[in-house]
Amino acid sequence: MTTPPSGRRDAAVLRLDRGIALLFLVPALVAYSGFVVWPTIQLVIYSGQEWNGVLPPEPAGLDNFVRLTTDTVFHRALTHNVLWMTAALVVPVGIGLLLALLVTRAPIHGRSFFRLVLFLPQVLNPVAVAILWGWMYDPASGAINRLLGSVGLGGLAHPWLGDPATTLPALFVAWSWLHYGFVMIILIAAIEGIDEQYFDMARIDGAGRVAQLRVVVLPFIRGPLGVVALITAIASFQVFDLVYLLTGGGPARSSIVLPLHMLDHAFTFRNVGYASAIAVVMTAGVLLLSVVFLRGRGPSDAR
Amino acid sequence: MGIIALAGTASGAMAQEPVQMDYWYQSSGPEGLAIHEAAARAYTDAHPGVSITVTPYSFDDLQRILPVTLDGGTGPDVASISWGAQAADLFAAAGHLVDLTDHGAVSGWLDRYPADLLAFANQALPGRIFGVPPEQATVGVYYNSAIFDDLGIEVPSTFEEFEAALATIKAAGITPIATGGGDAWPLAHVWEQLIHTNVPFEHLTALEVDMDPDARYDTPEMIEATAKLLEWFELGYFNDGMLGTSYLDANSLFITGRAAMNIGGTWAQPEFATQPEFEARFFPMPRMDADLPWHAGGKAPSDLLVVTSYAEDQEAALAFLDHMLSEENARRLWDAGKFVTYRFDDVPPATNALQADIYDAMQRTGPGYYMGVNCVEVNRGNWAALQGMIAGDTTPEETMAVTQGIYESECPKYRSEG
Repeated sequence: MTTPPSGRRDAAVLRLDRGIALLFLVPALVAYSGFVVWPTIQLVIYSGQEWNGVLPPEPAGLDNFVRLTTDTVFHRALTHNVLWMTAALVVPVGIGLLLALLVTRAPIHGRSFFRLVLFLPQVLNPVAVAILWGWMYDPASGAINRLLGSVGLGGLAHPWLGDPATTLPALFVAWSWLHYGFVMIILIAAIEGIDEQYFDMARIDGAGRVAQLRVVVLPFIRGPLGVVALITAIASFQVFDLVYLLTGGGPARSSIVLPLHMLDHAFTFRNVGYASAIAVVMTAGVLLLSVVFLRGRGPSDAR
Repeated sequence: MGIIALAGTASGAMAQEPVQMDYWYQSSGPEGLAIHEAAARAYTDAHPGVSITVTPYSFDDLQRILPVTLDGGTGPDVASISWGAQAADLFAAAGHLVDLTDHGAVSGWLDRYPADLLAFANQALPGRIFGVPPEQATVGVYYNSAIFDDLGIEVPSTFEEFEAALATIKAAGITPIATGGGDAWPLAHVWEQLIHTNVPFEHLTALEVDMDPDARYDTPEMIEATAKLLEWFELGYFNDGMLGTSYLDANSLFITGRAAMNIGGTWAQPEFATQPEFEARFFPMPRMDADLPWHAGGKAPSDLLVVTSYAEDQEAALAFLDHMLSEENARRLWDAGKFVTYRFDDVPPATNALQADIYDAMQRTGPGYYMGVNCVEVNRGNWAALQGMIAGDTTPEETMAVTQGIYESECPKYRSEG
């Protein structure tokens, strides 16, 4: 029996290690394939069928995707989601960043208390949030209209969820209230991870608070900020619960969003194939968005 | 006879072996659960060893959950579900429901339910019965009798009197009609009352049942009725912020006396009979065109009781169905203020004035539709179009043109399926 040269032995050990590693990966791969890959493949298959969810499906080729080009409700829902995402990257992200700076860098007492209070909306159930904001927006007895009346601005009282011009912004305000806490908590962790000596150096160089934000904070939190922006953008395309519970996409589809349009087709109109086509387009859009964001972060952030 | 023998065997078996059944029903409010549970309890009390889990689902939830469950070869033993092309007809055609035709004849309840109602509610396979509606519903005008008395308003018998009442109430600083336009369908119910009193019923049947390619939503009569809805809105006859008000909030406006009327369905009757401090009463919407026969939109069978093909013990499920369709249960429903389809030999006395009003309205008006139930794209598209009109986006002509467009593009597929 001859001993193999050390190079061949190393290669054999490496192959064995890889084999064992793959073996350990099998359960996860099976679960991932069963619960993610296969349903996604099924979704694509359904998108090429005409199916009411009960009787046997019939092949439809690309008809469902062609229909998307002429479906004005789909176009409206897509526009709403894009507008939502654009605003979401500014409003809850901006508010979350501002509050994170305040509770980490501002000379205030009771920081822990403020963190807890400010984070509270994030831990509330969206159904509870919908009920809460539904009361606030109620045209007859809602807190917002009452508040306006009590400060002499009763003329500004409005059916916030009943006027197509204000429905989407009103829903967005409620969603932002729910979402900014997530942004804040991630950015608090990022800001607290910055070594204090960088702030000291900036101060020695004469940097004021705004300059410290520009030269110290923003460069250091660029990575987490990018992740927060990506998650916020994805969440903007998944927004559903608040819209469903507060307006159902109305009035007159003024607050329709893609998940709701998909739901309508899947379960109300029983066009499972068409609903799947909407889901495929949504998934592709979110994937594309993720790739663009991740590439935009650059190699330094990826470390 | 064979079925009777089988049922007897099943009863015997039930006494020995525990039977657990699931009963799902479509809930329109919390008061319904007590009624359904009482019916199930009466059955289990008389059948030791049988237990029944009663589960309420909202309309939307049942629409989603039931097809998926049945498609997976499982589901409730007995269920109360919507009739029509999107629900019971579809499930019957797919083989998910038990054919009750022969069982109904043997069990004896078939003669107690009007044949025209059974036919209305079982359109998938003519001549066969897959579901029985124990109740029927109608839509009309609930009113606050105290406000009417204070303002000296008599119950309107003509459309002119009805509009005069609206003007009087408005002039008194009270909201005439509470409607949950935010949920869309309550607004559509108001519209349906108007079209059923201004458009020949044959035309509505052509649109809703036959889906006649020559029938149209944008006829002058349809537009006139739609314009009346907009006119009422512009005159301030609906609650402020109507498009931002939910169905439940609109009911609350009526119950608390902040609105004089509520145009709604009989499913709200238990709530309106008991909750307000005033006496709520009811009348059918007077006709816009008094020369037409009187029809009320939404005067139709309620949900169907069905036995699914996946009932674990089908004999037990059929026995429970028999109980639900019995005179005993019909009386229980009637006593709870419901409007049963069961033909009593002697109609029991009404439990309150509101039930008597509604029963009277049902006798005076012919059947009517929830427009678009058989072509749900029209249903939902029309809801959105009506909301758009109220929001000022479209005229009545444009609104009906939108609905007509959906009717032409989406409904043929239901027509071809028969």
